[in-house]
Amino acid sequence: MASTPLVEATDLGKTFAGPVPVEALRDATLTIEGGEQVAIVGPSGSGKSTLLNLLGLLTDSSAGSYRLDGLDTTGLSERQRASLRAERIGFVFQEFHLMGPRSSLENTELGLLYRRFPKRERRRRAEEALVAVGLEDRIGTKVDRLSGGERQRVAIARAIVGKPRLLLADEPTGNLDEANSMAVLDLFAALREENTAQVIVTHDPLVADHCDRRITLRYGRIESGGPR
Amino acid sequence: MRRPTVRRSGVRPLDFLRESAAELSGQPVRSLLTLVGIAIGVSSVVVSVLLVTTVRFQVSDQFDARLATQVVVAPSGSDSAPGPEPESAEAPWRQDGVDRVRAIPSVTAVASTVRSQFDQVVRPNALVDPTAIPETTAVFGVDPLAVPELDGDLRGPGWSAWHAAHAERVAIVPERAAAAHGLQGVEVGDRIFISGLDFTVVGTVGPVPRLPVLETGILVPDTTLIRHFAADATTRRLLVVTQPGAAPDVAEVLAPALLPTDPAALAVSRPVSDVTLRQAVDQNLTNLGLVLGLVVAVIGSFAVANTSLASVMRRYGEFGLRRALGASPFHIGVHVLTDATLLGFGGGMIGAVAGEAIMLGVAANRHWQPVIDVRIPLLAIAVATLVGALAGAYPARVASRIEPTEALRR
Repeated sequence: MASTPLVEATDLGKTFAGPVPVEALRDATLTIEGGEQVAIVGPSGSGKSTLLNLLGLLTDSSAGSYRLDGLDTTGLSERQRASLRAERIGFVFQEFHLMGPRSSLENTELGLLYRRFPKRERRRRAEEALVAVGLEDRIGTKVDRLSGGERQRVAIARAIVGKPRLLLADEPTGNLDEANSMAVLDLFAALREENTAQVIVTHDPLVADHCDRRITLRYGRIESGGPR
Repeated sequence: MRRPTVRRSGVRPLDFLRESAAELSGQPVRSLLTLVGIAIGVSSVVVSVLLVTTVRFQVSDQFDARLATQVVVAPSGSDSAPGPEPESAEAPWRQDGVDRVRAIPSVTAVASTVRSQFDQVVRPNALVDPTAIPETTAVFGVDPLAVPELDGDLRGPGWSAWHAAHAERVAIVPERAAAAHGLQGVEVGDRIFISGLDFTVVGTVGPVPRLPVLETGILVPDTTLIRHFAADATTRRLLVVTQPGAAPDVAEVLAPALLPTDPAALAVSRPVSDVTLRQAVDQNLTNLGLVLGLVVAVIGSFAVANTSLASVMRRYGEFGLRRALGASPFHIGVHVLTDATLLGFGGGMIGAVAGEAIMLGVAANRHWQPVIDVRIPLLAIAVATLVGALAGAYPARVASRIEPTEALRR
């Protein structure tokens, strides 16, 4: 029997309400297997971020269906979607979204805050995650004092500390130089061994070339690379 | 199709507190300013209420010591008792009646006073300036022991029963009257002139707490006043001072003891009901404290609400991140509510301690007996915490409604 894909989206669509409704995404059908690394490319306004937000359960779809890890997410309450995000999804953002006055360890711990882990367990796992991204000597450092590459590695540590099934990254190398970009891609590559699927929105051809597959969006539609 | 089985995400209550503590300590200046604002409000309330309590105690104490131990007897027909005007300027009671009153065990002092019918011209010497408008003052006839028994600080020998019996021209000059009528510097042994008659000064006196009206005129023996100036019989009083709590009982027996043949000719009264007056003062001061507390609570709640709302706006992106990490709208609301509640609690603690310290300082400075009621600061902390929580409710609602995708774009 064939294994169930981690991500199964069928005719997914998103229309933003307003005086003039905006159809940001339509008829998006795609599947992603566990451990697969998928790049989403396309010009600005093509619906990349909207697709990422839908896959990350940060917003409701207007049409279609989305199954994550075999679970139908249609009609879930906000609380249930929050629980799924906490347990199965990790996010990495271009702007890092770290909490400046806090240390690398405290920022990484945040990735487990909403999962009822005891403080000691959160700390242990966060330290492991920071070691995994090569920041063992920056554990207690305030993130304000870290370089851009180090900050992004803290953000990745926060995203992977809960061992998510799906990692969503929005322009993760957008603010980094080439060396730091390569370091981030190496970290993502290592996650494949953990069977973590990765969806990376990027404008960078170098990043897209590193991925197993490329989905191209244009005018809110998947132009190529959707279903396998 | 399999329905999702989603484990409910959650945050341990202690972690909400830890997160709020981290957030508040991460913005030390902002948090400190808010805490100071709340603390000032809370300390104002604590100081007001504690001072009100302390002052109330002082006021009550004075009522107990003075008014509650005072009974006044006046002849019927005087200006404080109904009836026909007295026929004679002489006191209707005799000395043996006064002695019987003095013998009542709980009576500590007795003083008879009467005022001259007309104010008299008083001068420090016999020289008369025909161009000056003469100044007049009251002359009071009092018995020999009246001044010390009315708690007056008599400096000089005063007059004796012999002076009174012979209607001698001797006078006691209160400092207040001296200052008002050009008699400053008058000393024992000097002579002053009352309506042209010379009087020997046998004493000066400062405040007379039990009967301050005596400070406004010249004091002479009762008999001297009647002989030379004519007494206003309607102003005759016998002031009886009792031990604390005995005034009502003494008042009952005073008239028969003083004038057994015709007790109905005397009107016995207490200047004021100490219980009624104290209750009125208590009520007024309590109301003042409550109004102050209410005003500060309203101002404090706006301060916390404003800070919390500003914090929500500033942390927009952070709330988007937290939502991405698995926080539900409820969790976000609780974060904001916990921040505001902690601010209220912290401000309440600081304010309560500061308020206690200020109140103790004021009490020490004024030589008051401070009234330490631990319930007041504890209540202030509880109210500040509650106000913080209530003030955080609206910002918490705003924060919980933030769209994560929109927040993450900021």
